Amino acid sequence: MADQRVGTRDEWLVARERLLQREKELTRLSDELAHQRQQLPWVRVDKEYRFETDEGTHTLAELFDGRSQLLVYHLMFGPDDEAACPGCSFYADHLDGSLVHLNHHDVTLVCASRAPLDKIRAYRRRMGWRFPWVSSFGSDFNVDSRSSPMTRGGPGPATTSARGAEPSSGSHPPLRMARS
Amino acid sequence: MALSAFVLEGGVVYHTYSCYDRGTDVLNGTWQLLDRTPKGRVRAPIEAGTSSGWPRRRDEYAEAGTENG
Repeated sequence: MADQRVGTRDEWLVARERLLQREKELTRLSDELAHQRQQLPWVRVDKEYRFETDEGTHTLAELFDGRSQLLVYHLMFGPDDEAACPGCSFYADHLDGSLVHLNHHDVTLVCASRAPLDKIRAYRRRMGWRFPWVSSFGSDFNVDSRSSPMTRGGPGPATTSARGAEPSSGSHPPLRMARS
Repeated sequence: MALSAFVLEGGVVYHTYSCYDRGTDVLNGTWQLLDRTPKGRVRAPIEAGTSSGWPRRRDEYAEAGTENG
């Protein structure tokens, strides 16, 4: 860090105040974008996806688990993999603490991967996670949701219209989802 | 990593939002914390000679032993 400037407390305060104004701009912009995010059009999902869950085979509607909103984390874990990708696992480490708060805010959060359920369960035990995690093995959900690496770069909404080749492995991190 | 959001209304599921790649940065609390450290997201692991892989799976930091929890 040879290029790092060392200054006085007063210099720091001036610089910090300047940065604080930028941080406030970002906060306001972030609030504005959150509002715009909520104004995106809803796209009806007519395709009947099937997921293997700890409670048996479920439809997408059943994944809501009695709530009106659903967040699906696409964890890259392909049918031939023995472990989910390290980057996705890093993100997944943050989920368990949020679950109870989301659930009491009418939001169900689940993770979905293309690996079969027995592999998912074994890896979840290894990582010590508790969040719900379903298998989309044999379904087009991840492909249709543009969450598989083979579909990266593709335009279009992350619903049922976009199809792509099934990747043989889910073990590299960048994913492509719908561009809004 | 990617995230999709759906809503269930009147028995119909609608897709409402998705994000991916850098669009998921803000969902990750560790990134946000690192953004407030002097060396940020990138420099520390490289300078510490651990650029062979970070982040790793939580049980693959065996030799590092840096957890202070």
